[in-house]
Amino acid sequence: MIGPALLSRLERLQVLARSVVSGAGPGKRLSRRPGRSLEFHDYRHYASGDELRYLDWNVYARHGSLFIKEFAAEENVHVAVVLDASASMSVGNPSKIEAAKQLALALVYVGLCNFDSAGLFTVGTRLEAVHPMVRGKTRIHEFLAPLEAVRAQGSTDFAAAFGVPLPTLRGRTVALVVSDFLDVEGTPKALLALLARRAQVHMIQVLSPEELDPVVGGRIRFRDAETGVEREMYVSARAREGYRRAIRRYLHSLRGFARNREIRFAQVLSSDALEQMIVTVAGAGILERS
Amino acid sequence: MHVGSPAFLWILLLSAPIVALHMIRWRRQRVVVSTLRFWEEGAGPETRRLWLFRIWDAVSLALHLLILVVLAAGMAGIRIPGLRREPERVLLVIDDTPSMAAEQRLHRARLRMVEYWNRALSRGDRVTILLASGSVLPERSAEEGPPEIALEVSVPGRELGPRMEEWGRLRQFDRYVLFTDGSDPSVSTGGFWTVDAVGVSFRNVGFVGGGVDPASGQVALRIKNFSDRAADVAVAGRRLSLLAGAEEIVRFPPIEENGRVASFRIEPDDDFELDQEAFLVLPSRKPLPVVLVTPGRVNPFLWQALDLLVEEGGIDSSRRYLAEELPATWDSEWLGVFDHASAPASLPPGRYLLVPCPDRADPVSVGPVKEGIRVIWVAAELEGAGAFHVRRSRLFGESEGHEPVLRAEQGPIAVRGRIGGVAFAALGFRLEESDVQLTPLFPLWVRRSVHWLRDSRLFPAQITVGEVWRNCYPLGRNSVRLNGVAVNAPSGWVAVTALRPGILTATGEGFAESTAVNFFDSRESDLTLKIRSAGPEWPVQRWWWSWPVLSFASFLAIILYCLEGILWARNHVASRFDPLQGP
Repeated sequence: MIGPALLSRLERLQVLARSVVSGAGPGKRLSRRPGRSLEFHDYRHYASGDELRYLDWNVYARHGSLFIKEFAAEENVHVAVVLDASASMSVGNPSKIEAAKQLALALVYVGLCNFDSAGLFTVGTRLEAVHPMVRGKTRIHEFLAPLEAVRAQGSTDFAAAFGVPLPTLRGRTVALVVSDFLDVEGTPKALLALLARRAQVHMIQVLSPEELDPVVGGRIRFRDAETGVEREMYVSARAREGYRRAIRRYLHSLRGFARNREIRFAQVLSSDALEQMIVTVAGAGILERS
Repeated sequence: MHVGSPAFLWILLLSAPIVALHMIRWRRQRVVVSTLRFWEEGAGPETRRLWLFRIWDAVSLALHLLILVVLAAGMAGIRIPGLRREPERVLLVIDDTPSMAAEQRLHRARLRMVEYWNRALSRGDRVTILLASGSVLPERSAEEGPPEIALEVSVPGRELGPRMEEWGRLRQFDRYVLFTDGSDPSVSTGGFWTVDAVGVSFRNVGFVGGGVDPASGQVALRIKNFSDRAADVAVAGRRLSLLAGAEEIVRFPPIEENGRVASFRIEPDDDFELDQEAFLVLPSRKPLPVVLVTPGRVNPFLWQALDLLVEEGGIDSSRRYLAEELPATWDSEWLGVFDHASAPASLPPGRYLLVPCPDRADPVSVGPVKEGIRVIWVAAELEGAGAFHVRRSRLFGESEGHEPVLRAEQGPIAVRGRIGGVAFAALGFRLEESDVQLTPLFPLWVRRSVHWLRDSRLFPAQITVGEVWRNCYPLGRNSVRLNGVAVNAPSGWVAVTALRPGILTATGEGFAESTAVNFFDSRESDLTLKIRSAGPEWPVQRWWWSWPVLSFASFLAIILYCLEGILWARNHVASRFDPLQGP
């Protein structure tokens, strides 16, 4: 699914964790806890048994008190890639689910390459773990078969999926939600529920080109991929323009929602190559150089 | 023609591709979308007008099918009940002369009359039924249906002609329809005949028209199979297979040595008694020498035949012989007519015909008398009726099984008539080299009377020998000359030669038959037609609404297709090249 050249480039990236995290294990990210990194963390009074090499003699010379310099710890983060596997993702040519699966695998690999623990989840009406959190980039192959088995089916109910306690998503998690986010009512609720669990959320929207710029015309019987509801419509140039206005209005509001809540938002097309999608996601600030 | 006619149904098959095209057009493009929300929001106002397109689909298909039905009806000549013509006064004449006794013709004539009543008459028509014997049924409306008529073969009265003439003067009829065992060559167009064949259908395959095309000089015959099954027809030595309801025009050059001769008959039924043949002879332009030979006693037929022989009228070559005085050498250019009871045992080479005697009922077979013509047998029946079967092998070899059979079922072949106060005499056969025509004993006077009533173009009230009538029946716009009138000639022999065959009519006891032979001027029709078939009206009638409706339907169809084409192109262009997005 991912070529060697792209893999090597992915290894130089990491998922953005905008704040200092409180990780679950050693890693490369600064933690709120004191540790042994080179990054200064705080002072504390000397206590018996502290290593003298951490004494700050300058402070002692100025105040006459013994203070020990503490350094920040380096910990990892949980990178949870949440893939929308509802039936709406099957739309498009190529289908959005195929593009999303490639992108999700790449994001998981990025997470594994930076000593983070990465896991893959699917969401439809509820959140399900495709693969639990693991560490080590050599375990990327464990994601291949489960990811290949993911099918776009069922309906989308983000609010229900993220509205319940999520044992699979603990705190200090960076959630990369890959979806088309066309569940207009459920998407804000779900994202707010994730934020309430102190997760850092990144939105990666996958759309097909036809959804942004439809070319169909005439009398068309539309079928909702998730509900199965059919509706016959006459699509004229004016109707297509009305559709474009409607979806642009929604995307604009979605971006505004993300911006107001400091959620990074990236939009990719299912027709884009994986490398292009990675560039787009990195350009949105979701990925950064490690 | 009704809606079950093959032509109509065949044309209606075109509805299949029309419906298929509409079904294809109705097949909606199906698009799966992630959510309908944005389409409903964006295309909602446009979709509210969708019911217009749905109605238009149904209306478009209905219009197309309606146009097709109208075109099919127009092409098949179907009468549409809703579009009626103005009420007419119709005279239905049923021939109940003795010739209608054979083969249940009278019964069939009545059935055909009922059929015509039910199919051709419209509401408001006033119908009068006239029997050839003189009975008249009171006028009644077409809605009342055909009356129950007890038809019996009767002997026509001599005063029927004036009677019908009187009827025609008292009541003007818009349409005259004759139900008889023959049809009416009533229309002549530029030397090409079309025949309005209304009558009793005795056969399945009929000769419905024909003539000489003046441009090509060829003889053209239109032959149609009126039956519901295929039939083989031999036309001028060519075999044709006609499917049910099919018709075909056969063209062939005139046979030079015999004038213009065409003949056809029905196969494979070869029963002389039941077989129904038709035979057409186009007269040659040669003089017709005729010899009548009588044994010297008074024979009912020959007596009348001799009555025909007149000293005037261009008949200048005649001989007579007693049977026992026949010369050893015989001029082959002459035709010998014998009473078969007195036919000599051996005849010199020549052409002969044996005529029936009323007092003989036993068929008599005679061997070949000359190459090309052979009298097979002569059957004498009561009341002078007889049948002639003459095999002619010159054009139709026996090996091929083609035997042009000539029949005169209701003899004698020479009869006498009286129309318009003038007596006519005619010889009911002619000889053209080796081609022989026996004019069927056909009550032409009935048809003649009908035409007389219609346009008064037939024979004048008073005629004299040698007088020429223009535009008279049956030649339409051509001429007929009266060459002779009936006279009482003594028994013996008389030979006549019709140098220029004019009209020959004959009247017999209980029979009234005639034949008409026209002049042979180049500009005049020279056809003599014998039609024994009947079938649908020919040519197919066109009604006043046909062309306006067909023209409007065609115009509407063109407009519809243009509109749909414009809509399709507009939609196609809008789909491919969005003006907002650029091509």
